[in-house]
Amino acid sequence: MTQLSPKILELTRTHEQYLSLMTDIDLLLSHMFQNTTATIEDSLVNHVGQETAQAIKNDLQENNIELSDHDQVKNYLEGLKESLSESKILHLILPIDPTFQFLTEISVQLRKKINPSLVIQVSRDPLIVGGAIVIYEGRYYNQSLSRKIQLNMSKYSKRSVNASL
Amino acid sequence: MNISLVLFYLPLTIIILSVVIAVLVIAYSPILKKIFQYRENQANYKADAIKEANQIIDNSRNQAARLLEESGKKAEENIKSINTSAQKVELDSENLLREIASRKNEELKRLSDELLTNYKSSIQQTLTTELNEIKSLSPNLAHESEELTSALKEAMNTAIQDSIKVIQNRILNEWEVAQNDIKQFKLHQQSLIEKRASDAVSTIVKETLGRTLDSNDHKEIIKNALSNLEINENLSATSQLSGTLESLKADDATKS
Repeated sequence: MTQLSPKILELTRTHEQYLSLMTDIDLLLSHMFQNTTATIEDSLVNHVGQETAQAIKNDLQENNIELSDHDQVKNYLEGLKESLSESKILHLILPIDPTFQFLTEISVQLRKKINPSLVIQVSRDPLIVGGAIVIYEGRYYNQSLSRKIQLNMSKYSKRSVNASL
Repeated sequence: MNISLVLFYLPLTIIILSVVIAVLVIAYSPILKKIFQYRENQANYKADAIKEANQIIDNSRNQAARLLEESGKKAEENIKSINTSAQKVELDSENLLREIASRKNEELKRLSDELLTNYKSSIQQTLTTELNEIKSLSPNLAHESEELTSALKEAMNTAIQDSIKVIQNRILNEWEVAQNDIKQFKLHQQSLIEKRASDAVSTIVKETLGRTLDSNDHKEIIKNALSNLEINENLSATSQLSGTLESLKADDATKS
C-alpha cells in the first residue's frame, strides 16, 4: 500500500474529487495495460487532469520511480488505488451550497480531528435550516438547527397538550 | 591609603552619578511621560477592545436567544392553530353529520308519507271500484263482498307494513352512506392538518430564521456544529452510540 502524499490528499478532499482521481488512475492503468509501448508521460498529458498528472509525477519523483519504468509505475498506481480505497467517507448534510474554499476549511478541521485521509461527501438539504448532519461509519449526528427547533416544538406541543388536558 | 582614597572617591562618585541621573531624568521626563501615556492608552484600548468584544458576544447571544424565542413562539402559535383546526374539523364533521341526518330523515319521512298516502288511496280506489262492480253484478254476492273487503283490507295492511320495512331499510342504507361520507371527510381534513403540521417547521424557518441567517452565519453555525462533533468523537464508543440513539429518538419523537 502506498502512503498518500499531501498533494494526493489535497486532491481527495471531496467525494467528487476522490471519484475523479480514482477514475484517472483507472484510465492510466487501463491505458498502460492496453498499450505497452506508450509512455506514461503521454498518458499523463493526454488522459488525465493537469492537477492529477502533476501530483502523480511529483509522487513518482519522490519515490525515485522513473516514468519509463512501466512495472514500477504500474505498482505505484495500483498501490495508490488500494490506499485511496481505504479512505473513510464522511457524509455531510448542509443547508447551503458550500464554496470550495469553505469545504476545504471544513475538510482541514475534520481531517485534523477525525482522520487525515477523510473524504467529505456533501449533500444539500435546506430544511435542516442551519448547522449540519453528519453520517460517519454508520453513526448519525444531527447537529442541525431544525432538530433544535423540532425539539422546541415538541416541548411546546407537549405543554400545549398538557394545558388542553 | 587605599581606604582613605575610597572614602574620598565613593561619595564623590555617588554625587556625580546622582547629578547625572537627575539630568537624565529631567531630560527624558517628557519621553517617560509619553511612554507612560502610551502604556495608559494601550491599556485603555485593550479594555475598550475587550469591552467591545464582550458587547459583540452579548449581542450575538441575545440575537440567538431572541431567534430561538421567536421560533418557539411561532411553533406554539402553529401548534395552537393546528389544534384549533383539528377541533374545528371534529365539530364541523359532527355538525355536518347531524345536518345530513336530519335532512335525510325529513326527506325520507316526506317520501314515505307520500308513498303511503298514494298507496292507500290507490288501494282504496281499487277496492271501491271492485266492490261497486261486484255489487252491480250481483246483489247476492254482497255478503261475500264484505268478506272480500276484509281480506283486501288485510292484504293492504300487510303491503303497507312491507313498504314501511322497505323504507326503514332505505333509511338505514342512506344513514350508512352518510356516515361513510363523513368518515372520508374527516380523513381528508386530518391529512390536511398533518400536512400543515409537517410544513410548520419550514414555515417557522421562513418566517423567523430564513430572513436572518446569511452566508457567514451559516458558516459559523456549521463550524460550531462540527466542533461539537469533535467532542462526540472523543467520547467512548458506548457514549457515542447512546448519543446517537438519543439523537435518533429525539428525531423520532419530533416526527411522531
